[in-house]
Amino acid sequence: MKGLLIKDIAYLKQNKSLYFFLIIFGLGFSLFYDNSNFILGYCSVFSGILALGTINYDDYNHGLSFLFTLPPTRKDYVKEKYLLAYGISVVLIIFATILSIATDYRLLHNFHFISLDWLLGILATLFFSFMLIAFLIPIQIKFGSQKSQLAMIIVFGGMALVFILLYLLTQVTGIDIESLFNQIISLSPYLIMTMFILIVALINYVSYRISITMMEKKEF
Amino acid sequence: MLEIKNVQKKYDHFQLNCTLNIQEGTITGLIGQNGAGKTTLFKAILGLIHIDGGTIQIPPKEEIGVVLADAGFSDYLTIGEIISILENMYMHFEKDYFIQKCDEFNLPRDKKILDFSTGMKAKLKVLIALTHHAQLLILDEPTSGLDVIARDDILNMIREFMEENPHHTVLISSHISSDLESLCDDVYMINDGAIVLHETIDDLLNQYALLKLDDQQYQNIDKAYLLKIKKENYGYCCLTNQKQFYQDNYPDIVIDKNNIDELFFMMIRGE
Repeated sequence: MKGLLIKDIAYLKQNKSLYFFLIIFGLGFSLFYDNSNFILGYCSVFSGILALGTINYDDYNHGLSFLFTLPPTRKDYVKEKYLLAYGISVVLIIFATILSIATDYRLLHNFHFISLDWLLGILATLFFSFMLIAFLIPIQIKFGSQKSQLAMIIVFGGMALVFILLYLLTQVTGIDIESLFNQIISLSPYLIMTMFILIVALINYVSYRISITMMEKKEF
Repeated sequence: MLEIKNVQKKYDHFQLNCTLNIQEGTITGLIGQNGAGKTTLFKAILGLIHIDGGTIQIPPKEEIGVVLADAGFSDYLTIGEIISILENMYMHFEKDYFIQKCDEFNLPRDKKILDFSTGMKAKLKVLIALTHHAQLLILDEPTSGLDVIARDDILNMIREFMEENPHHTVLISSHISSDLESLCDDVYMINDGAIVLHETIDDLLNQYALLKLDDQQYQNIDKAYLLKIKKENYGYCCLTNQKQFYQDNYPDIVIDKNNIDELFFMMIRGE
């Protein structure tokens, strides 16, 4: 497991220019854009993409077939990818949180915005990032580097379509989903948060089991 | 050390069905034309593909070193990074020996493998396979596409590995028959997914022979020990595994000096 992590960290080091732009964009938004949430959302999407990049590196030139002649098992490999993705998420969300604090401080000139609700928001972003990972990794394992991009467009396009349809439905029926959503959250934010975390954990567990099954079935 | 019993793998247009027994302390060669099933057999042995039948007895992965013809560590890694990976993957990684060999072969530790020549990449692959106290090496075409010097370096690494410990065992496939003749104790020949011949190198070179016969000689010769026959311009070329018999009884016939390439050719093309 440690050997696999070292390998992936070596791959991640290849993306230096990407990190440079991430930091430049982050700082740019923090300084000139008056919405601190943007950078959090931006970073939450990024962790999954970076973790998927390491699977692409493994896949390059039939590399996976060689990798599975080494001591780590296919299960170890899948487990390591999830842990890596979670690790990248945590690092990126910490980075985004610092920038978000900087933005809010620039706007408000104080730190009063830091509250338990604010912290819950950060935590929700982190778990949203974990949820994306749960969708991305099995797709990448199933379809490989070539077909996975198309598969992701279909999956995320489908999800976007569902949201658009829901939105249109609320327009037609006149239900204000946003205020309904806020109402539910204000009823019991901690309960909602706990439920959200549990759901994300469950989705991740199912995703992990699916990924293992798919990896075990794969032939190289 | 490695026992493969009736291992089967079915594809639409190809079927593998092989039995091999690789004895401890030996170097066994696997020879076959492109598409004969060598790589499929290696992949089956290594668990990279799922077999449809049969059994494979193989030591744990920690005790195996593998070279695959078309795969290895990502070209984006450096040897320095590979050292860190290997020392965290294998319990008995021989870091000092690995570094010593890298220096000996002028393999730079801070450059990406992408910048290496074919020979450098091949040496690195073999080095990775044998520096963790492996008991069994499984090498698929480790010398393919290399010049004589690089090939010699690799064959020497394999010989050194064998001399280290009498239990060390190697299964190697190669297109270069001189490599196999100088290295192997025995050879399996694979064709169309099946093993068509298994002999020791000594027997292949001493007992097998190609008889070059004109039509008259062919009519009169005892055909009991002819394995394969092929019509040629001059008459017939015949493969036998009883060279001595024909030498003693037919002193006039031409018996060719043996080599694995011609034997292999006759096994596949002869009737």
